Amino acid sequence: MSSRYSRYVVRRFLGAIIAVFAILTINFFIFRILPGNPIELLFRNPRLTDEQIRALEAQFGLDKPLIDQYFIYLINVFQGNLGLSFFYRQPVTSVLMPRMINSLILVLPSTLAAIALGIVAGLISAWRRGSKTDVSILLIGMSLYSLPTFWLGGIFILLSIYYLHLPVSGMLTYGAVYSSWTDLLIDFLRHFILPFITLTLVMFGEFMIIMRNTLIDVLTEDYVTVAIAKGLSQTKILRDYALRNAMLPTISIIAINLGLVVAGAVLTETVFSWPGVGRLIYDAILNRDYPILQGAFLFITISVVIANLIADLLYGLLDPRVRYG
Amino acid sequence: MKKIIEKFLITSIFVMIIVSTFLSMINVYSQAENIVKIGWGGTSFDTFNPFTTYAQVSGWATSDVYDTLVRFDKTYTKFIPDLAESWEMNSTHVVFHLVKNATFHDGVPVTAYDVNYSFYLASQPWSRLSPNVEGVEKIDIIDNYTIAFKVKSPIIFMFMAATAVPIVPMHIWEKVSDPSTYPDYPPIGSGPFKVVDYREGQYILLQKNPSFFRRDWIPNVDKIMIVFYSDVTSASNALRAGDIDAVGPYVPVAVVNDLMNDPRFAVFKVRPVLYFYMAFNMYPEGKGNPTLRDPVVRRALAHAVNVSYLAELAWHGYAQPLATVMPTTNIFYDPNLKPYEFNLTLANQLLDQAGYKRGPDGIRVSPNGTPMKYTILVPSNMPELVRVGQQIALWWSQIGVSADVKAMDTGSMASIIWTKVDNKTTLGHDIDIWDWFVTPGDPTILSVFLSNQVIMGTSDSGYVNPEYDSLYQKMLEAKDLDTVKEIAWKMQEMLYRDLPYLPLYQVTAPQAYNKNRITGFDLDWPGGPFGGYDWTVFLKIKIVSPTTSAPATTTTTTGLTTTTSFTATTPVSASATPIISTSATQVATTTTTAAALPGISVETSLIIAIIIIVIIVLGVVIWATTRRGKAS
Repeated sequence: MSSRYSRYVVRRFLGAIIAVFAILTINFFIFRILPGNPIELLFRNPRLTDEQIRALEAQFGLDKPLIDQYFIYLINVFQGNLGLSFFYRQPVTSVLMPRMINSLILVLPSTLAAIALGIVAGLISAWRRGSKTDVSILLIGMSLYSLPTFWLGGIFILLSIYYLHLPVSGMLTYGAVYSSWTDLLIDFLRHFILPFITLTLVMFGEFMIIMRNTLIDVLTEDYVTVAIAKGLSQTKILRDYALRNAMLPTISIIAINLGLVVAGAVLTETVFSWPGVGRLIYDAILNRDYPILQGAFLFITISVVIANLIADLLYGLLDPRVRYG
Repeated sequence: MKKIIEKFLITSIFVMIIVSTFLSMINVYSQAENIVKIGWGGTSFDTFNPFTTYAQVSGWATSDVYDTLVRFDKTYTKFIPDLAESWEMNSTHVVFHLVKNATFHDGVPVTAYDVNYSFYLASQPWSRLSPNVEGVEKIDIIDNYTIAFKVKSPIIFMFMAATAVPIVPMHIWEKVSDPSTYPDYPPIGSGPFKVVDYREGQYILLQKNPSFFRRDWIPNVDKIMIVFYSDVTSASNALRAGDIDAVGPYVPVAVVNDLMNDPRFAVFKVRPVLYFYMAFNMYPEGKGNPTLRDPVVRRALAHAVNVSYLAELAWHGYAQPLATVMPTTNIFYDPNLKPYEFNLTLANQLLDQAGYKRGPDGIRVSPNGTPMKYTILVPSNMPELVRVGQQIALWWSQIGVSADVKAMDTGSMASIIWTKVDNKTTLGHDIDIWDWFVTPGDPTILSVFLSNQVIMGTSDSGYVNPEYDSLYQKMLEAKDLDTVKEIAWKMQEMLYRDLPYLPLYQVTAPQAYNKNRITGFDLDWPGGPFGGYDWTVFLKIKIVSPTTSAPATTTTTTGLTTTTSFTATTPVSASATPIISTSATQVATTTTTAAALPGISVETSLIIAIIIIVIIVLGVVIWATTRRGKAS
């Protein structure tokens, strides 16, 4: 690697660190701007006395001035302490971690499948631009992209209730005792397949459209015309000339989406009662559970920053202009 | 190249279809069949700590994990002995004699010291129960199994404290450094159920405590699971798909017909514990439209609302109009009150007489120049309330009142209603529509209208009336139930006359369960068996027969059904007859063999399917890397 590339890497790393700091700050204040006091809301209870409300506020540090709360928060974050959830009365990390793993199990395979399908469909579509295949792929991609997730999920649930007889909630049959790992796997897959298909279909359109449009741009470039004129094979033109140049915008979309994997999928998780981060965030907003929201958003943003950093580094490798620019 | 790609695309779609068909055909049979699963939609489980939990489902799920001194029966007027075998009352003291053979789940006996310590914890400022035990002046431990409470009002103590304070083990809790943040998992109580598993946001699993001291309370089933859903719609879908056996706290009206048409399900209306109301901001120091402080205006507005029509509009036959601030199941409900008559002419007359003249735009203006323009806040998580608000606005437009309906999440709503001005809480809105869940044996809902409740963030009407306040204190010190009722009625009549709230309707929400799976519980508890109030449902519930969904398991299940027979067919009442436990059910639930193994062919084909999925992903990766290799 050239020293120029390592300088490029250092710059990217510095950028990422600054981004994380900015996130920490915005993260703290954005939830305080939301109207509504968590104590009032959680405990809308005619029996609460003034003394009780004050005790609760003190317990969560809400009685201190905002700026003090901010510094306490910063110090705690660096000590790995994300605070105590208002609602669950448990450390945020112990609530968040299992949820994140559950989300990863659902969202990572779906994202990968959507990327794979999207890229392939985009390729076909771009290569056969204007043909019936292109129009139909585009139509399918566009309509899937614009479908409301809860509606698509709802259709699958109805299908399951009447025809498929698959479970529509949870990750596993709760309380089941399995006699072998295959039973466990089958049970898991039975729960997994519907949310997986829903999420894949919803995400598919995005990748397909990006891939198709950038590839169409590239395919009209002069060097592609030259390559065709040279009589090169379709495979070689697509793979060595067109795809490499079309890959750049796709990589950044992929990076953001892979970064967002830890955020779960709010709608899909809610519709299929998947115990992931998305549902946790949804509930936390309703309960004004700041510590959970801060913790979740911190993880999500950091993971997006890291994914972007990786994308940037890949860019540098793929496209020399970036690192010398 | 493009053919390969096309093939790849088509194959992967086919693989998806094949895999999902495969999965829909095979069902893993496992011991989950012997667990009764009750779905709960809405606010999830928060914590096991009984002194800091605020979620309805938490209290309900652990109602048979902890014992209390006494329990309510379903009329909420009689007490059933629990940890207290018997009790004596005079005008200042209640003395409890505890059962002598009660033990906590860890084997330590329950004594008067545990009772004393539990009441001590309940009285701490961080405890949600501290207002319940306010009337306790002194606790005396007479001996290991006798404890005396000196209280302001023995009857109020029985209703609000003896039935509410869970008895926790002193030997565990006294070692906890900060009980206010203690998660209390796994919880150690003395009740007929133990908690054996809990997954946050997923489920809580209860297991029968076979050594429970009241033999007639031993549960009929071994295991009960409460599964959490983010909303009642998802929970109802799960019921229809067969994931769970029952749904609480209610099923949405939209799916009721589907459930009724399905022979598997029993759908029924529950006795109401929830009601909706409209609150007028009449707080003297409030920031809302000042015309609402005029009692004539509130009366005119009340006459311009047809509550029967609204009940039908919002709940399609699952709600009834209501005239007072508590539902009919509350034992302090005043039956003499009737909803205000819907009469627009009368409403117009009232406003005309009071000098509210119509302006040029048709909207009335108060004698000192304030137009009758209001904003009605409604929670956005209940879409039917928007229609209710709009309908009210339509009626009001006919009496020269303009109203604007604004839907928002409850957090934003609360921040508008209870605004802070110069560090003092005041009421910032005009009108809001909201709900209350009211515990049937508890008159505390009346405290919402106390003069000091605005700064507490509970009163959304700003009712200030010293006479009312003193009546409330009198009620808390009343010596017998009739006096409490008499005072409670008087207070409700004051509220009816002064109209801080215009009660709209109470909800007899539908609940549903799979009647092929479970039976044995009462349907007529306030709030229904799955509404979060009935503590006997877990004890009485029985499995009808294990479901037979997979052909591979038919032999196993047939064997089971033959051994299952029930001696008690009718639901038994909690107060008089003991809860009969059938040995047959226990046989049925314990003889189950391990899960039946799916056939080899299914197994192998499934593995092939998984391999194909892996190949799809790997294929893309390899394809991408080879491309890079050639290019560089």
